[in-house]
Amino acid sequence: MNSFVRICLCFLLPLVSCSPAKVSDSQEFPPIEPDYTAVTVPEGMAPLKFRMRDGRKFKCKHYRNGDTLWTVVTAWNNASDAVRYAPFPIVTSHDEIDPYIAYRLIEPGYENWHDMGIYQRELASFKETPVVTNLVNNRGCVNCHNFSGFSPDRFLFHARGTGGGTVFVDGNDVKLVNLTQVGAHKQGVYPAWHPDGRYVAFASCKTYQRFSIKNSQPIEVFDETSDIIMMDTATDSTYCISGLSEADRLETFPAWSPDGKTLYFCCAVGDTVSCEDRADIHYSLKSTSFADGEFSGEVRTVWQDDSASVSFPRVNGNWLLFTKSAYGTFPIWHREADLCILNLENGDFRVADELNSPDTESYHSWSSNGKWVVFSSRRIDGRYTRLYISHFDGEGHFSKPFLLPQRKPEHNQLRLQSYNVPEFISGKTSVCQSKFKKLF
Amino acid sequence: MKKYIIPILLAVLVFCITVFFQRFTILRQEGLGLFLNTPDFYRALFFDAFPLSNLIGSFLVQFYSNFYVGSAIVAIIVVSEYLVVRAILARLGIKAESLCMLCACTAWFFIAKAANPSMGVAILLCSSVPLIALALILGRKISARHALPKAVDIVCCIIVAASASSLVALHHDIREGEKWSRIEFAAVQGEWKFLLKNATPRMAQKDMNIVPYALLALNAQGRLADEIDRYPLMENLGLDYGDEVSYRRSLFDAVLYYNLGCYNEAIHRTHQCGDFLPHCTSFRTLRMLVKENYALGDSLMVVKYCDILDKSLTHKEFTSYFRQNPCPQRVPDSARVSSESLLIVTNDPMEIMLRLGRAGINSPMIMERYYAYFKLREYYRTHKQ
Repeated sequence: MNSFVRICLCFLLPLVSCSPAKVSDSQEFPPIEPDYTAVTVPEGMAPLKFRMRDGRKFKCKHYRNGDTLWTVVTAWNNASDAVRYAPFPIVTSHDEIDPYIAYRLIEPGYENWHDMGIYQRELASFKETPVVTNLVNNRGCVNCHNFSGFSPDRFLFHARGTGGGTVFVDGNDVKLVNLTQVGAHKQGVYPAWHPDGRYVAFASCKTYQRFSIKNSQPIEVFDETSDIIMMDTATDSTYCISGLSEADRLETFPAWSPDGKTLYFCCAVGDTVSCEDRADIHYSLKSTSFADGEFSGEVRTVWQDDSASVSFPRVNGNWLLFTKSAYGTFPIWHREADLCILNLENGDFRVADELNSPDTESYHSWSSNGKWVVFSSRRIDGRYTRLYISHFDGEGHFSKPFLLPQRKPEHNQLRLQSYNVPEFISGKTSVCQSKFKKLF
Repeated sequence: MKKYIIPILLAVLVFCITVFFQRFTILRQEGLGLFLNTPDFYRALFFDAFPLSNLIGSFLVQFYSNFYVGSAIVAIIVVSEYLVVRAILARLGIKAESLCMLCACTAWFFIAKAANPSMGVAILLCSSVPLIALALILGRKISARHALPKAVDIVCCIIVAASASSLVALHHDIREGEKWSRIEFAAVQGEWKFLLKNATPRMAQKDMNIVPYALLALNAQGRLADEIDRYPLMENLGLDYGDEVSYRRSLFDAVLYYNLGCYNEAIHRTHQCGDFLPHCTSFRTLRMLVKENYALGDSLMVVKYCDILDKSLTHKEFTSYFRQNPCPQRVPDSARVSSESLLIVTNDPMEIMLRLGRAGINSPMIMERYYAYFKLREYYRTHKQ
C-alpha cells in the first residue's frame, strides 16, 4: 500500500466510523443542553452552542424560513443507533437588545471569599472582561453595581473591607464615598439610580445569615432592620426620608419608574426581625411620588399578599416584574422564589410561568427599551446561578428564556462561580483598574 | 557519559530524600493545587503574577497524587537547575561542579519549603534567562579557563549535597509541614489510627494545634469520652479551633461536620477552605465536595464537580466511581426552614451539638462529643479547684 492511500485511509476511516449507518426519525425536539429549542433571540446574538444532554455525538443541519432558523439534529451513540429529531425553531426578534450585560461573579460561598469581580459580557460574542475585580481593594468585596440610565460611563459599586465605600464613576472621574460618614451615616445596598442621574436611592440594612443544618435550602439571610436612604450625588450627602425609613417598618429594594416620578420599594411591618420570626415577615410592594428632588403624597400599597414576600421590583412602562417568595427579604436562596409580572395600569398580576422553574429565580433587569429581560436562576443544579434572557412582547408575556450562550456549551457546568445582579448596559465600560486601585 | 554521573546521583538523592521525608508534603501539595483545562482556570492564572511558572507548576502538581511521581518531578527540577547552572558556567568558561551543586541544592531547599512546585519552576525559568542571554551574547562556549582541582570539586559537591539533604530532612519548618500534611491527609481520608499515631498526647504538649484533630480521631473511634483527659486542655475549653479564621480551621470543620453527618455544614466549610486558595478551590476541596454532596444525595452537584475534576488529567479513576454508583437525587424539602434547623455560628460546642440533635442529626459521634464536653468541663472545674 503506498503512502498516499495510507494517509487517505487515516482520514477516511474515522469519518466512516463516526457517521451513523441507520437513521430513525423522532417527532420530538432533541434533548439538548442548554435547551435552546423554540427560543427567541435578538439579532446579532452570539451563536447558541449546545450539546446532547446524554453526551451522544450529533450533527446539525440548518435552514432559514423568514426570521426563524430551523435546526435538524441527528444524534447517535454508534453507527447503528442514530436518531433524527424534529427540527426545532430559533426565532430572531428585530427588537434591539443592549450590547452588554454586567454581572458579578462570585463563588456561591458563604462568609468569606478570595476572588470576586464585576464583569461585562458582550452579547454579540463570548467576550467577557472585568469591570472591576477585588484585586483593586485587597481582596475585599465588590458588589451592588448600578448604572445610571444603562450608561457604561456612569455607574457605582460598593467596595467593602478596610478603607471601603461606594465608588462612583463618571466618565474618567472616579471617587470613593463612605456613606457611613456622610449625611445619614448609614451604609447602603441595593442602589437605584434615578433616571435624571442626580439621586440614588439605597436600602440601608442590617443583614444576618444563618446556615441550614439539614434542609435543601443551604442559607437563610434576613434583615434585622432596613430603611431607604437617598443620596444626592451633587453634594455627596445622604439623607433619610419620612415614610421610607420608619422605625416600625422595614423598607428595602428601591426601584424607580423609567420616568423618575415614582419610587417603588418593598416594605414589611416590624421594627426588628430576629432569626426566629423571620419566616413571618412578608414584604409588600409600595410606591411613593417623587418630583424635583422631593417625595410627595402618601405611600401607596401596589401589591400585597400576606402569605408571600416581594423582592426586586423592576419597572418597564406599565409593567412591573418582581420576585415572589414565601417569606423574608432574600429570595436568592429560596427554591420557591419565582418571577411575577404586574400590570400597573389595572393591577393584573400573574406568576410568569414561562420564565420560572422549580428552582430559584431571583434578580432580574429590563433592557433599556423594555423588550428584553435578563434574570438569574439556579435551575441547572440548584446551587450556581446562571443568566437567562427572555423577550417581552409588551402585552405581559415572555418568550421561553434562553441561557446566556457560551463558547463551549459545557462552560456553565464547569464554571465554579455564580452570576449576581445582571444589568444591561449600552456599551462597554472602559475604566482602567489602576484608577480604582488608587482609591484603596 | 561521565559528566552525567553527578546529575544522576543528585536526582537519586533528591528522589530518595523526598520519598522518605516529604511523602505527605507532596500529597498535600497536590491537594492544594489545581489544574483544570477550562477557560476560567486559564483566565485566573493569567490575571495573577508569574503566570508561566504557575501554569507549569499547576500542570505538574496534578501528578503529585502519586508521591513517587511527585518526588521524581522534584528531582527532575533540581537536576535541571544543576544542568542550567552548569551550562551558564560553561559559557563563561568556568568548570566547577560544586558551584552547580550549591545552586541546585539551594533551589531544592526552597522547593522543599514551598507549598507547590511553581517555586521550582520559577527558579528554573529565572536561571534559564541568563543562560539564554549568554548564549545570545557570546554565541558559543568559552573554553574552560577557570577550574577547581577535580578532587576538591568532587569533595565539595559531596559536602554540599550531604548538607542539603540533612537540611531538607531535618529543617524545622519542613518537618512541621510534613507533620501537618500527615495529619490533614489522615483526617480527610478518615484514617484515624494513622492520625492518632501522628497526634499523640506527647506531641500535643508541644503543639496544641493538633489536639482538635486528635480528639476528632478519638471521637470517630468511639474513644473520645474515655480518653479525652489524656490530651492537654485547650484555652477555649473547646473541642475545635474556636473562632480562628484559617485554612486549617476550615478544613478541620469540613472534616468534622462530614463525620458528624451534617453535610450541609461540611459543604459550607469546604467552600470556606477556598477562601485561602489561589483559585478559590483545589483538587482536595473539589474531591471533598464530591464526597459531601454524594453523602447529601445531591447528584447534580456530584456530576458537576466530577465534570470539573475530569478537566484534570488524574481524576478519571476517582470520578468513575461516583459516576458508576450515582446517589439518588434527594427530594427538595419545604420552602420554610425552621429556626431549629439553622446553625448559629458559635464557639460553644454544646450549643452546636444541641442544634444538630434538634435538627435530627443524631449520630453516635455527636452523642459522644456532647458527653465528652460535659466531662471536659467537669474535669476543668475539678482541676481548677
